[in-house]
Order: sequence, then C-alpha cells, then structure tokens
Amino acid sequence: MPDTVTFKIKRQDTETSGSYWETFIIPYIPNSNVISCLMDIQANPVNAKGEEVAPVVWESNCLEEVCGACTMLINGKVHQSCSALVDKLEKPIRLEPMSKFPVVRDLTVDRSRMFDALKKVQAWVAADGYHDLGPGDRLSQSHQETAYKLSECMTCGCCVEACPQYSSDNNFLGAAAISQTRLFNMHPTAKNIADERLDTLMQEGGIADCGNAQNCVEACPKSIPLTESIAEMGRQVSGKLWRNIFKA
Amino acid sequence: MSKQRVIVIGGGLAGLAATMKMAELGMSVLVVSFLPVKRSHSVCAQGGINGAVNIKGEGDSPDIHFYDTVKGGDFLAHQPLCKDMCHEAPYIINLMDRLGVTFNRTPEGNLDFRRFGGTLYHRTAFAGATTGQQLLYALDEQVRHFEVQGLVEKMEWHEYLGAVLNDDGRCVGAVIHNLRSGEIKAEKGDAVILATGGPGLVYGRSTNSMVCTGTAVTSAYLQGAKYGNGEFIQIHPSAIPGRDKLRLMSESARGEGGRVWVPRKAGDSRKPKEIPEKERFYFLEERYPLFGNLVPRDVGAREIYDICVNDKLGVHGEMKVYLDLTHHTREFLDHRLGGILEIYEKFTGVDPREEPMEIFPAVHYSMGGIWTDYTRTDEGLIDHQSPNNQMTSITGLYAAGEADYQYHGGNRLGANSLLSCIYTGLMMSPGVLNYINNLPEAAEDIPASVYSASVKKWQESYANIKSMNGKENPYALHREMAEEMISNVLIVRENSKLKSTLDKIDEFESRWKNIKCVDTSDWSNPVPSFINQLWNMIQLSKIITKGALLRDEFRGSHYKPEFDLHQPDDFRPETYLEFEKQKEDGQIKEDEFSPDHLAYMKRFSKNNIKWLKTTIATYRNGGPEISYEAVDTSLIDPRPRKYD
Amino acid sequence: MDSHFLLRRIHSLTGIVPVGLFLVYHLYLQLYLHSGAEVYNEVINGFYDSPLAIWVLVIVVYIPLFFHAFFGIRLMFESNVQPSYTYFSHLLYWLQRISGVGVLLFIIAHIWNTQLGPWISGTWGAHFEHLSSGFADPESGIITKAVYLLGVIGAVFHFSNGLNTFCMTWGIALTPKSQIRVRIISFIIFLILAGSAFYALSAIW
Repeated sequence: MPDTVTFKIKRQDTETSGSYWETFIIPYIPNSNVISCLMDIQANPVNAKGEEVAPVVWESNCLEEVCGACTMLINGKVHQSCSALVDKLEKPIRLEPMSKFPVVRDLTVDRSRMFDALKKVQAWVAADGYHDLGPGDRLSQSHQETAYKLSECMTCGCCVEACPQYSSDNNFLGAAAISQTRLFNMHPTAKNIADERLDTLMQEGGIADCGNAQNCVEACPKSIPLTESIAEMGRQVSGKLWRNIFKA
Repeated sequence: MSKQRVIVIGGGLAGLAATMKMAELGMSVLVVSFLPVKRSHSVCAQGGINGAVNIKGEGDSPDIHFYDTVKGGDFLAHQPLCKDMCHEAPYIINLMDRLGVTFNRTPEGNLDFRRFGGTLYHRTAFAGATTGQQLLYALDEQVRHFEVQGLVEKMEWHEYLGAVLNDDGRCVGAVIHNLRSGEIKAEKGDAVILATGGPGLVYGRSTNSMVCTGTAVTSAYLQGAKYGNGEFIQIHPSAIPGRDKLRLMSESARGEGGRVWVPRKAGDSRKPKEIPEKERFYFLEERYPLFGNLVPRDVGAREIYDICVNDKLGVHGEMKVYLDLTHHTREFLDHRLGGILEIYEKFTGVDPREEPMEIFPAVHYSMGGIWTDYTRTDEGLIDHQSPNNQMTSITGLYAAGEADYQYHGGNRLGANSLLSCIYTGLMMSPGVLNYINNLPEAAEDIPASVYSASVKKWQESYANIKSMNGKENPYALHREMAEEMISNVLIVRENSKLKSTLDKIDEFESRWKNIKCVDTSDWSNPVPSFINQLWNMIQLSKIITKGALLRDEFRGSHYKPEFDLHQPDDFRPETYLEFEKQKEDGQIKEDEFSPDHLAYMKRFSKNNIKWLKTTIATYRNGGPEISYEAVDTSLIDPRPRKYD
Repeated sequence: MDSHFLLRRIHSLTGIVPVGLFLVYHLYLQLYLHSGAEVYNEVINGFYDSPLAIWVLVIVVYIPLFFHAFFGIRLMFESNVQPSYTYFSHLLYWLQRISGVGVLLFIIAHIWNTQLGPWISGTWGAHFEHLSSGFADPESGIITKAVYLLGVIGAVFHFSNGLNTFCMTWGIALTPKSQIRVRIISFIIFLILAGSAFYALSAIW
C-alpha cells in the first residue's frame, strides 16, 4: 500500500493567463476518489515543493455522477472526477481542464456553449400552460425506456470533449444536443415542431459536422446510445432533405 | 409604474417551478444560481414523487396521502398546507408528465407507481431511479424556453449574499456576488424568493450536494427572519459510505422489495451469500410486520442505530447493515432501479444485483427551514391568491422548497420532497404576483442609495474576509465542526452532549476569526465565499443544536431516549382518539382503558400540550433565541404513531 | 438547410454513388487481366470506343471523384487529433482520412501512368502491355507493385469503411446492433474487393 498519491495538476489563474503544471503529494487514504483528494489539497494547500499555494479550483456538486459538474481530464481522458477512484487510476494522476471549452480557472471551464446548443435545438415541450390540463399521452414501456435513457444526459460534455470534430473554433452542436433533438422529436407533443429542429440540424454546426468517430458513445458516462441518436437524426434529416427537394 | 420583476435565488425544483409559473403569468424573473441550474441538488433525488393518482385501484386518495404525511411528520406539519399539497399532487404529476418527464409506465401505458416508506399504497411516480434529475430537467427546459422568449434571465455562477431592505424593512432586491469576477452588486427585485435547498454541509459529509450550505437562508435569519424547526434533521437509513460524500441509496430500493438484514450472530465474518436464511435477522420485518422495510425514515434510521450500536449486530461490527435486492432478476432491477444500482457499483466495485449492498444512515434533509406564512381557507386548504403564502417574516422575501419549514413536520416521508418543492414553487406564484401588484412603487423606481448601502456593507465584509491572515484553514475548520455535529446532533441526542456541542460551536466561531484566507486572488476565487458560508454554517449549527437541546421530547427525527414516552407494545392509536374524545366531553372513563395505556396516553397528551409546537429561532445578541409557536393541527387529530 | 449541410451530404453520397460503384466496376474489369493482353485491351478499348466515353468519364467519374477527394481533404482540417481515445471506431475514423489522402495520390499517379502518360506518348491502346511492363521493370517494378498494393488496399478500405459511415450518416443503420451488422458486411465487402483486386493483379505480377 503506497503512503502517498501524487497529483500533477494543470493550473491556470485567469481566463487569459498561461497554464502551468503543479504537483501535489498527499497522504494515501483508501477509498479515495479524485474529489476527496482535491478536498484534501484544499484543507492543506501545499505543493510538492513545500510552498503554500492557492487551493486548486474545480467545479463539483452532486458527487454521485448525476449533475455533470465535475468533469475534467483525468490522465488525459475525460471523466467525472467524483466517480474516478484513485485505486483504479495510473499514478501519478494528471488532472487537466476540459480542452474544448474556455478555461475559467484551474480545472473549471465554461460550458455555456452546450446549454446554448439546447436553446438552438429547442429542447423543450412547448406547453399551453401549467394549469390542470389532465394527464399526458399514454406511452408504451419501450418508448419510456428509450426516452429515459436519452433524458439522462447531464450536459457534462464528455461526448464533445472526446469528439475529434468538436473544437473551440467551430460551432458544432455536438452529440449531446443532437441526441436531445431525438428525445424531443419522439415526444408526443414536442414533436409538433420536429421540422424546426431538423432545420437547425441541417445548418452549419448541425449533424453534417459529425465525422463518425464514435468517441462520444464510448466516453458517455451514462451509456447513452449517442451514435444511435445521431443515426436516427441522420435518417430524419435525410427524410427532410427528400421532402425539401421533391415536395417543397 | 416601471416594469417589475422577481428574483429567484436557486435553480432547483422549487426555484424553477416558481420561475416558470411566474413567467407563464407574464412576470419577468431573474434566476440567480451558484451553478448552471441543471446541476442543482434536485438531481440527486432518486426514488420518485408522491401523488394519490390511484392507478393501482387500491382506493388511495389525496386525503389518505395527507394523513400519511401528517402522521409521518409526527403531527408537527402545518395541516392546511399539507392537505393542499396532497390534493394538488395528482395534478402536479400529470403536469410533469405533460412536460416530458420520462416516468415509468404500466403495460397499458399509464404512469407506473411504486411503494415508498410510511405508506401502504403505491403512490410514488418514478422515472427509473433518477426521478429528481428527470423532474429538474423538465423544469430546466421550460425555463430555457422562457429565457429564449426574454421573460427569464439567468445569472449562473452568482451567489446570493443578502436581501436589500428599504427603510420599512421591506425586501426590494438582493445583493449578488459574481463568483467569477468577484464583483458584488445589487439586483433590484420587487420580491425575492429563496429556493436554496437544505443545509447538509453543516454536517460535512451528507447525502447533500456541495452547494447545500444553507447559507442563503441563514443570511435571511441573520437579517431578522425567523427560522423554524431547525433541530429536525432527517437521517436517511440507507447511504453508501464515501470519503467526500455519503451517496444516497434510495428508499425505492426497499420500495421495490429490498430487504434489510444483519447476521443474527454478532461478528459473523461469512460473506452475506453464505449466510443461510434462518441465520439472517430481518429486523425491520420482524419488528414492524405491517410496514416492514418501508417504515418511515426516522424509524428506520433509529432501528439501524439500535441494531448496530445497542445490539452490536452491524455488518463486520461496523455501523452498517445489508440491503438485499438479489432475489430480483437483473432485468427487473435494471428497469426500475438502474441508476442507483449503477452508482453503487461504480463507487464500491460490488454488483448489487449479485451481492447485498452495505448501507448505513446519513444526514439527508432538513425538515426545518426559514419560517414562512400562509393563508388557509375555511375548508382547510390554501388560498392560492394570498400574498402571504410562503412569505418569510421579512416582507417581500419568500422561501420555497427545502429552504422552508412547514410541510414535513418532525420527519419527511420519502418522495414527498420533490412534491413539496414543485408544489411550493407553483402554489406561491399567484400570491407573489398579487403582492407585487399592490406595491406602492416598483423596485426599479427606488433610489440607488437604498441599494448602495447594502452593497457597501457586503463589499467591506468580503474585503475583510480576504484580508484574514490567521492560522486556521477554513476547509479544515469546517471538517472539524462537521465532525462535532455528526458525533452529537444526529440520531440519538443527549442533553449533556448537546450542551458541550454548543460550547464547541462557540469555540469554532472564535476560531473562525483566526482563519487564513488561503486564496486572495480576484478572479474566480471560491475561498472568500466559503469562509462566509462557513460563518453561516456555524450560525445554523447553533440553531440546530440549541433547538435540539431545548426540545425535551422525542418527536419524529428528534430522538432523546431520556424523553421517550415508551408506547406500550399492544397500544393502538385509535384508543387515544377515544381518550381525547372523552376528555373533550368532560369525563374520562378511566376504567375503560388498561392502566399502562392510560398512563401512556396521559404522558402523551401532556407532552403534546407542551411540545407540539414549532421551534422558532430568532437572531438575537449573536445567537438564536428560541421560542415556540402553535401548529395548525385542526384537520387531523394528533395521535401516537405506530407502524407495526 | 444550407450549403454547409448540402455539400457534406453530397460528399457522403458521391463516395458511394458514383465513385464507389465505379471502383467496383473498375476492379471487375481488371479481372480480364487473366484473359490475356488481347481480350483485356479489347475490353478496355471497347469502353473508350464510344464517342461519349470521355464525357461519361469526366462527368460520372472525375468530377465526383475530385469533388469527393478535395472536399474530403478540406474536412480533414476540421479534425482534432485526440490520441488519448484509443477506441476502434476512432482508429477507423483516422484510417479513413489517411487512406483518403493516400488514395488521392495513388489515383493521380494511376491516371498519369495509365491514361495521360500513354496518351501523350502515343502508346494509347496497349493497356495490358503498358501495365505488365511497368510491373516487370527490373528497377522500378518493385516500387510500382508496392504502390499498387497500397493504393488498392487503401481504395478498397476507404470505400468499404465509407459504406459503413454512409449507413450511419443517412440513417440506414440505426441501432448499435445494426451498426455492427453493417460493419461486418463492410468488412466482407472489403475482403471480396481486396481479394478480387489482388487476384486481378496476380495475372501480371
């Protein structure tokens, strides 16, 4: 059993300043995850050189992999840091901020682009009102199973971080948003504006920017069938293309 | 009058429900949240949301739901609010269904319902085992739609520091701290709603998320708002141990047939699957034949404590018991509980479909919270147009969701919190708008000088925090404080320990003044915020601990063995109703009751007269001053609880 | 719908129809190498006898082919290198791009070697002799053979893997199961085409 764990953390003080690596060596405690180690650093912010430094800044909330906040690169791969167990990681453990989003500070990034994508694809049910309008449609169990899986997406960004087509200098919507169009286009009332969502997917940054690398589905912590969603939306836009050419 | 708007602090279920309802009614809303609202703590709710839709034809009704809720809360909940909530519940579930929540379905395509603690009915609608997440996402989507339409503005990565009060003491806005730039400024608002959730972080590790510090409501308390029932902290019977957090293992695991047991022999070192059936002690099923594994959480947590601490039967001699689902097929479990079983497997490396889970009790929810008002109708429901609903004792400052106090009494039933969050958000909205419509002037027209004083106070306060250069690390101090709370203000409470904890908290408060602000940078620096939050958590721990110390009784989650009324085993609650009726008629026929029953009922009655009251904490001279207030119990007569 | 989307869809489509289909037809014609010089030259020249041949070649093959190739190279510049993610599909993603560039170079050399070169030097018509002598050259033969081997494997891979991604892009294969099926079918097509190409080449090896 090792006595200590070494963390190499890529830090950045402000949005515009350069990044630098800092090493922390902390006592090994069984059953640690990356977050509990970051907390240990917070409670005793001393780097490997013995210098007292500002505690590492990261983003987290639920710590049980349902909120998506604590996503970062761990040993080069994107993962939630709450469910990254120290015992299972190669040492020293390298932590970096996600590379596809602007860094705010240290391991914190700004993922607004993903939430903006949800606006673009109109990921909502347009309701007539919140008064009592009776129950929703009856739906089959299999419909629920498909929709539930898609609806588990926590906008964490793993899919787009791993995607070779998504970068800070294009405006690709990414797998998460494309999968949400599938979810809403299958909802009994949200599908009333299915065509508008398809129009969005057929613009720059839409589904045609997918390069079929399929890293998204491998990286998704919730095992959402993202490639199936992309294929399904590919089918829907193909139909729309046909209608645009021959029926419009 | 200039354009008016409401500021909603917090983007969980309650905050977003209020936001979307007010936006629907045409009001501009500013949502302020620590994180992107989609990451709020509501996502952690797993099991489901209660509503007596009676899909299973069991004869369930909102009134039975109401009774279960009040009984579960040991009669400390405000009954008109509970009744209104339970009557609105079926409509709320239908609404969420319409908004796209992926609830599980029956073969015919209706919503499916499962059982939960504290009731005998299938009343809990659920979306896999991540119901809170699914409900929050549906509201998040609605609010995003309003955002696009320009009715809602979001300030994510911002923190609420305090209310701006005008000369009359009315809330006219909020002081907001930008967590990136560090800028502190005022936002004008004609009403402010605190929907900031619970205070789990006062206990350090709990099932709560990292933002659940209770800071916003404590800030309101420090500004003069009353705090209710602080000592009622729910301990959830089943959580997964962890160094950073105690992850919840939903009650739905038991709702779907999960069985709690320990080896009959203390220190049995065999693997759980090697222990034959007859050597397993299904203590909840044996002790509570009627409710079995689905006793309310306060009862469940106490029994686990009793088994592990008093009987020393905990797994491996630790504070742990088995929660066993292995009798179900994998398909069944994945379909109905997938999310939580995956979490267990990810964090422990053990497949709960093959091996019984090891679980233990953890701090989960605060029944108490900021005091809020309401207006009841003659039928015992709520007048939804009343501006009083959910208003704190500061005019214009409202609270909703876990931040408030009236719905769950001394103990909350599982799957009632998602309901109460959405219910309060929706219910209060028309009243808030009525309040705003009758204001003499819009916040927009109030002179800037009213705001600049508050802003200046907070700017100075943060500048002071940043210049703190003592010896204490704020995070280490927080751990120590939490350790103290966990040790002494948990399931079993003793006055001597509570007293010493109060002294300890005073010590922490003076040590807080010796903190070193370990990061003094200006950009995206969470440390000054945390130091401020720690101060508020210290104040909140005083409310909890002092409330617990002074409440000399056993009610709901607040268990003091010293004041246990010792209900006789063969006692039935109906007997007490008869006793009360006779008392009302003026003559108790003592020979109709067995002597030990009679003595118990007299103890119970006396205790209720003294303690069936809301604890009110008011900030005076640097600490909470405790007083008591009547509870509206006019609809269901209080009686002893019984679950066997 | 904008040109961004349309161009990418045309790119995807041209890879299969007509370029991919032409590849299959082209490889089929090469099987006549086993029938000897006379038959082979007759088959090839038969195609060129038509007065429309040059137009068919330009419109059906060259324009789609070079659009597909150069647009594909443009798309390549949109990719980020992410070596941490060592998944099989990700490997195929890069092989598709690398093979695309390789095949383009091969095709340019191939066109020069078998069409433009003979046409300029006035030896047009003796296709079989031209090919076999190039392969048999004591000095450059080995290089020619290697280039053909790589070029043919690259082209066949690019086509069959492209068929696989085409099925996803256009929504033909939806579920992960059907995507695996398509991948298996693509692999079988790869084996058949590569096998037939090597068999054809073995006639002049």
